[in-house]
Amino acid sequence: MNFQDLIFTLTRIWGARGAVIAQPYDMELGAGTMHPETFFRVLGPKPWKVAYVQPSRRPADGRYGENPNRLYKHHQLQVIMKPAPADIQDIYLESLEACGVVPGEHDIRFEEDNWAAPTLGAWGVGWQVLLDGLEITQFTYFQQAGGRDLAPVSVEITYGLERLDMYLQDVGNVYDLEWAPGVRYGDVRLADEQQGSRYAFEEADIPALAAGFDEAVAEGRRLIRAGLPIPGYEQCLRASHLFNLLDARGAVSVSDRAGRILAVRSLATAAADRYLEAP
Amino acid sequence: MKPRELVVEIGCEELPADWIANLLPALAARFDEALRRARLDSSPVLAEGGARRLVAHTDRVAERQRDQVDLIVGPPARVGRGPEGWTRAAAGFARKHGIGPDTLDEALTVTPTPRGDYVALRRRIEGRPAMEILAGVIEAALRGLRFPKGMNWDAAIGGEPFPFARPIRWIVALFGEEVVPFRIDVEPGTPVVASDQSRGHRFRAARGEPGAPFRVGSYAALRAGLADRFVLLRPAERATRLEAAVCAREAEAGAKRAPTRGLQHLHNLVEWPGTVLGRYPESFLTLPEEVRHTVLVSHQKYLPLAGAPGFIAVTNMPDDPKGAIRRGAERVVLARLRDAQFFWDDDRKTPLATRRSRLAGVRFHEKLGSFRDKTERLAALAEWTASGIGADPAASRRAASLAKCDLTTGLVGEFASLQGVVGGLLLREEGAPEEVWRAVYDHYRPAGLSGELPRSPEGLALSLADNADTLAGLFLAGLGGARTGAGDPFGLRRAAFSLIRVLGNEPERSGAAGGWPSPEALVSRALAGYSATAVASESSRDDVLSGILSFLEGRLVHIFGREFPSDPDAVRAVASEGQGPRRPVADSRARIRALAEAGRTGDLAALATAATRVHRILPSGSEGLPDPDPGLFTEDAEIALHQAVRSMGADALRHFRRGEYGAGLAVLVTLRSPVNRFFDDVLVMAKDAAVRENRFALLARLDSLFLAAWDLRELDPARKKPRV
Repeated sequence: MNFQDLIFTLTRIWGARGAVIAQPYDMELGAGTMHPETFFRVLGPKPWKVAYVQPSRRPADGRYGENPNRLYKHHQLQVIMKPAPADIQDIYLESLEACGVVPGEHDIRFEEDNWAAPTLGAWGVGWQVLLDGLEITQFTYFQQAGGRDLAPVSVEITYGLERLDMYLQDVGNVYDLEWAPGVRYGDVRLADEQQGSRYAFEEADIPALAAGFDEAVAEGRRLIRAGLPIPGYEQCLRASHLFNLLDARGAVSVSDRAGRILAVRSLATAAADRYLEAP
Repeated sequence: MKPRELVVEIGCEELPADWIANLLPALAARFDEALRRARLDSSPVLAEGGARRLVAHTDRVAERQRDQVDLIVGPPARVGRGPEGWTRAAAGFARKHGIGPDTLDEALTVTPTPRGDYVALRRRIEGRPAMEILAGVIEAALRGLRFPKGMNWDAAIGGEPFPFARPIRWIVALFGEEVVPFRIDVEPGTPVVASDQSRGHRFRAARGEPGAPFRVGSYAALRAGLADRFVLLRPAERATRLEAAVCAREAEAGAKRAPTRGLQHLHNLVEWPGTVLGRYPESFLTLPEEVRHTVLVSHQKYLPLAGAPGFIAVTNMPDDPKGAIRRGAERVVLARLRDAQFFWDDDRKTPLATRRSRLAGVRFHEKLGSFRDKTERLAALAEWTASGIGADPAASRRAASLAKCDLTTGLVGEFASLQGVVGGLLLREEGAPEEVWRAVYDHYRPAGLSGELPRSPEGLALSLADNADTLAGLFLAGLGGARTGAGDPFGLRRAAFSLIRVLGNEPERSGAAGGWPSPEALVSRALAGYSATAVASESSRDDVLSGILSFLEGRLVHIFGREFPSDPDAVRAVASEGQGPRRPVADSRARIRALAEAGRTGDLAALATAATRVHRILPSGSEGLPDPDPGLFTEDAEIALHQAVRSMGADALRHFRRGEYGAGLAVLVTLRSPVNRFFDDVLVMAKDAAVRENRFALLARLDSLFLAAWDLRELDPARKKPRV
């Protein structure tokens, strides 16, 4: 199954289960969880179902397009079901079958793997899903977000699309994946990976990144105080990405780290608080 | 009515494998307790299960609760009972509770109370049918379970939130053949209601549709039905099956599994253990075995083969019909090994010593600076420690100066558990002397209470220095209090246990044990290493030291408590009251052993009682008294005691100095009869002040003997035992 068919199949399945098919967020995110359609919607009592692809940037994982498994930017397919359906594991397994995995021929396992995102004040319990030893999905029942206990509990399912598809297509190098008929992953993404890695490790302007971080934090605080938690949270996302870039550049000093993480976290929790206060 | 079988299966989403070993006995205990509290007679509950289910069952639970007899206390017996039998007062009391005058003899009794005998009314409360209360029993048992991390899953029983380990998806609850009406509400959602429908393996079944519910009428039917559906209920069955499967794979591969750590829960990771044999290209054999095995174990939980490019993967499938599982496992391993190979090749491009400057960017602790700073302290401390324990000081210093460099390697970044090991391997590649690379390799050993010690004297020295520096630093930074509560976020306990275990490893020699430094000496030296830092200037060194020592004392008592489980008093007599960390650990052990070997003879207990008595009678400040003046003695008994103290005392002290604690103790025991005679015959509180003071002086010498090697008072049977 080629890369885009995988995306079509999974979104169709979750759409049929009532999920809103949202679009990737139009900012740099480190993970699908950071998308406001997840971050804000898991708060409070209102039911919500959503699925979307989120290109996820991890600057420090960039390998100049030379590593067959590691990417500067990979793709997650993120699902939120709130409240969590009782048969959520079965629904998930059906989605794998729809992708061509015949369960009786494989070893599919749910192994404990709890998830925490300190910068979002969020954590949950759950598993990594292993398909013949390969981690293809993170499966999490959220317990807290924005520093708050959650009720009802949302379940988050995050498919690592490249990993899963490499398995399905039986290729050992991500750049050899078929994205669309006659088009390989490398054709679409390789230049990005090469340039993104060079940017993150060599060229990114450290003082500008640091200044941008401070500016984003200040602006985010101001916007949240002004009663605009969503734009305020966008500044939190910006700060988070700039932090990751600084980190990849080796420019986060020891004493800096804790302070910067705390700044991002307080923005996230303040945005969550403000969001819940909003009428 | 006949007792019936009770079987309860809690069907869960996958439970963490490493919880199961503790969870099952806890489940059985909670059920036994809940049944007992419900006054339901039952045979002991057995608990079994695995990743997707917890099962409790017992052959016999009574059909009804036992009747209960309540006693309602009425008037005192002297008022209620006369020569003619029950009095009017008793009859009045009975009437109030609905008992007529004709049945007084059946209903009333006389019962003793702390205030004397009273008339009491026996009231029988009839037991209810078990079926009506078993749902409450199940709830109580499940609520009694404790998990390392509980989970909110929007569930409630009777309106009370019901967190659990993972969401519960089905429940079998059978009393005989009847379903117990137990339910868990899930809000908002459909409740989980107990039934007679279980489930087997998700994907495979020898009978019926894979994953489909199937009816069970009894525990035996559940077990058999599950076995038909690729679920082995008993952990021991799974472990046995797994062991057989692994042995078969070993034979197939022509290689044995390598020793590993941390894979003891494999049989709880799966409900039907299967295996596949995987291989990887021989070219990876140039990658150090430690690295290859860590890749296999820590990421994949696969069993590495010793000396062969292969592994055994444990699966939850009875077979691998198309070879897909094996191919998948091999593919993951290949990718992981390639990553590790990349790091290993890359890490070797930089000589380890040149990484030292990079340690300035790796934080040891916020208030304690970087690993560069730590390295400098370690070099001096390891050298000093080495000379105290018979290791090579120069090699130890060299090892210490390189020990932390591997924190900047890619391999340690990827596999934190390889810290130390990678540094040692890189040094070996570089041709460093064995004393140096091995010390670096081993210096994170032992892992607290468990795990092996470093294998060389230099490794021991470096391990000691590292743990002492960590303890000193974290206490200076004010984190000594962080140990309270569960967990050990800063690794204080681990450091303390490791330090004590290594110091206790001092070889026993003839004569005095305790040539190695005491914990106190080591920690004081480590604290001195921080003297130039800001954090040291902010705190009082003495306060910090006493904080560390009392912390170490607790760990020392714990370790010795495990070593001498039947002699807690002996452990306290040596290791408590601040004495433990002041003495070399091996010396403390020798003292405890002497007491333990002397056993609980009446002599020792009597000596301890005498020690308590002597100490208690002395006014404070008696230690400063001069030697007693024989001219002031008036009684034979005190003259005899004085002579005994002089000759036996010198003898005992000589033994103690040589570390011959057993012999010294035997000498002390001979003092028991002169002491007892003294107390029988002599009035210490003489009217004449000089005579009295002289008696104090004699007793003070005795007291100091009783406290010389142990605090013998801890062995006094009359002494109230503090909790350890």
